Amino acid sequence: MNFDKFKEAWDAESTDAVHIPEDISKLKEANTPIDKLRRNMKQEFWMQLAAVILIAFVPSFFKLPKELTGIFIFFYGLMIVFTAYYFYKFFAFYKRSYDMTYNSRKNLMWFYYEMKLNIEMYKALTYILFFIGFSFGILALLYMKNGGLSNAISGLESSGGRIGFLMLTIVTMLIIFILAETWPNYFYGKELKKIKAVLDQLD
Amino acid sequence: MKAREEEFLMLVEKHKRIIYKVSKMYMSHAEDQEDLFQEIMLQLWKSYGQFRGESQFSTWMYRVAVNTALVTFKKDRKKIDHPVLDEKMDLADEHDSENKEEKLEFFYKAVHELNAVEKALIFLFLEGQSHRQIAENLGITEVNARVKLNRTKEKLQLIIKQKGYEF
Repeated sequence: MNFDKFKEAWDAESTDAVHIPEDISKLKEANTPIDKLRRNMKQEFWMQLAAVILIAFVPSFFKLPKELTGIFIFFYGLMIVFTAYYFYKFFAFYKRSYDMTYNSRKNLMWFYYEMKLNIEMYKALTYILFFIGFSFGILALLYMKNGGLSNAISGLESSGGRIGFLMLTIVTMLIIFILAETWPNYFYGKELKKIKAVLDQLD
Repeated sequence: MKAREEEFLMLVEKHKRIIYKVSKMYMSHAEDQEDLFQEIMLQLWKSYGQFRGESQFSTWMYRVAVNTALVTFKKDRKKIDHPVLDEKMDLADEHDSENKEEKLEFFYKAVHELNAVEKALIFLFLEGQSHRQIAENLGITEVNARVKLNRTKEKLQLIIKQKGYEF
């Protein structure tokens, strides 16, 4: 292949049939890996907010006694503090825009580390919530085991209720663990690897 | 705002070949090419506020177009297009063709076998950029740009030769 000769064909390639949209608003929304991540985060924000509100009804739903409700409020407060902190971080990421006018290496590095950082933050939040839930679950079980509250917890009076509660805690923890590790990798792991591969090609 | 949009569209119209060629080089499937074309247009518009006119519009456009292509990945498809390349190359062997369009067709198909950075190198080279300009756009050293470009040219020549087509 003679590149000098080929350049004639390259330069002569006709683009008359190529049409530019007449209106910018007709273009689809941005679809880079970062944009996809942000869109999903936005959707999840509302789901997580709904979950936080629903969790607030746990004491009344399970008819928890005062002592246990007090402990619940402490853990719920912790959950709110951590969730608010991470939501603030995610919001900052959501608002931070990328710059396609950087050189390619800088641009790819930005994409790679921003995505990685936010995926790790997401995992960290999931784990924090997991440990808060886990700690509360264990404390609640200890109270029940000691018998101090067993009469008051009407929904968990029977041994079947206790086993059910224990099973629910284990299953919830397991789901959170699997989700924390597999969800980000399933949705973004592939694209993160592709960006890393392109970065490596520059070396 | 409307005036700025019109100004932008006029400039893009003038240099639309850049977006067209990048889309064709990076994507083999027509639908993916269309998606990348739109994505580049959108990224150009989003970045247009930062264009101060210090460089030529086309120079700025090369960078945004290549950067967008580097972070836009084709959709997963079960069917791979490569067998079509072999079939068409055999046909080309039977005909003595100096046809520019045919050359381009085979070129694009061969380019699809290169990796993302190799595509960028060949594209910028064919657009007449110097080693220094290529290095600046990609964020690598000039020496690295020269070495990588030479290797990519050899690789491309080999792909085309292996497919039984020569030009």
